[in-house]
Amino acid sequence: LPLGITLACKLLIVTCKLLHILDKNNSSIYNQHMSTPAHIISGAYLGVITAHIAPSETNYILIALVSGGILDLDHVYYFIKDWKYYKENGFIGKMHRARSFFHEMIGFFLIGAVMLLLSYYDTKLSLVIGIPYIIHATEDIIMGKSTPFTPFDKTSIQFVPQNMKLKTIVDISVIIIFSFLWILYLNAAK
Amino acid sequence: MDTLPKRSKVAGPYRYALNVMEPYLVFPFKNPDVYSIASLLLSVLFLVFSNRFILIALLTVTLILDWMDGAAARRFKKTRKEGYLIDVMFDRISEAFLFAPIIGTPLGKWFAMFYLMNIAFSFYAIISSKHYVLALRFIYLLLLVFNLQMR
Repeated sequence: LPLGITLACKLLIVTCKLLHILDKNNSSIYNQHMSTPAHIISGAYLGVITAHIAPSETNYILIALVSGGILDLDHVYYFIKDWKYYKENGFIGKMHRARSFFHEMIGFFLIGAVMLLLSYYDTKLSLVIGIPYIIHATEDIIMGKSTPFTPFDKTSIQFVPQNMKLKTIVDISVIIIFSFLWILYLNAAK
Repeated sequence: MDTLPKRSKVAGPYRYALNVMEPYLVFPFKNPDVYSIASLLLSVLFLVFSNRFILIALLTVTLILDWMDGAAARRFKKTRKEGYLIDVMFDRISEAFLFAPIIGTPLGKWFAMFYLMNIAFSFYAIISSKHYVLALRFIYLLLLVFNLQMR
């Protein structure tokens, strides 16, 4: 338990520092959505709980953690592809450009199909892959700007104002709440 | 898509019943998005709870909130394309949260297949301006009420 609390606190401090530095430099890559650690920590927890994974089943937990963050890999592709554009115009207010259709409704369709196929083989695996992915995409839809029915419709949707302070508060709150829940979950094994 | 998709005539009696009750609805908020987000956040709880009565209560409230977002948009003259897209998108996400935990059961697999069909219908609605949807959450609520749940 003390190790868990220490790790959670350290993770929180690192995230805060990172967000602070990025905000200070006014070039935050996190300003349009939640940070990857927040996605991982929340998505993986809900995936693990839904699939009734015991804390000893570390392989499933690891898969859930990877699945919670894997969706953010598409940003890397767009950063490399459109690096010139981001260098000239900055990242603020333009992160939705760095999202592929995997973040939108087509992504939900694909992950739904993957989950259905995997469920014939291993239901737990299907859930630890699918739930963190769905949670990640949902969080990004709520906190950022999305074009849900791309490529058929390019209308963008936005719920909350794209301001760094709000994002930081939500991000830190999610990390704190889910770190606490992870500690409770891991501690239940003892 | 320039205009809002029209609903299928198959849903006529169901829509008629809702339209009759709509004037009696009380809205604490004028913004329809508030009901959509509340409905979605409530849907996340489907992942956590498996008790039949809790699920019935959660699903009922979710469906009422889903109804209220459209009703609020009509009442306060806020019907717009973005609102329609939000409604459809959140319905699909809510279904994902509802059916994911039962995907290991035979009927859960059927629901998952119909869920994929619903996403395809959503895309079709955007392209053709004709709103078709399978009322999966309502069917699941009936299954829960009549104690035919698959968990």
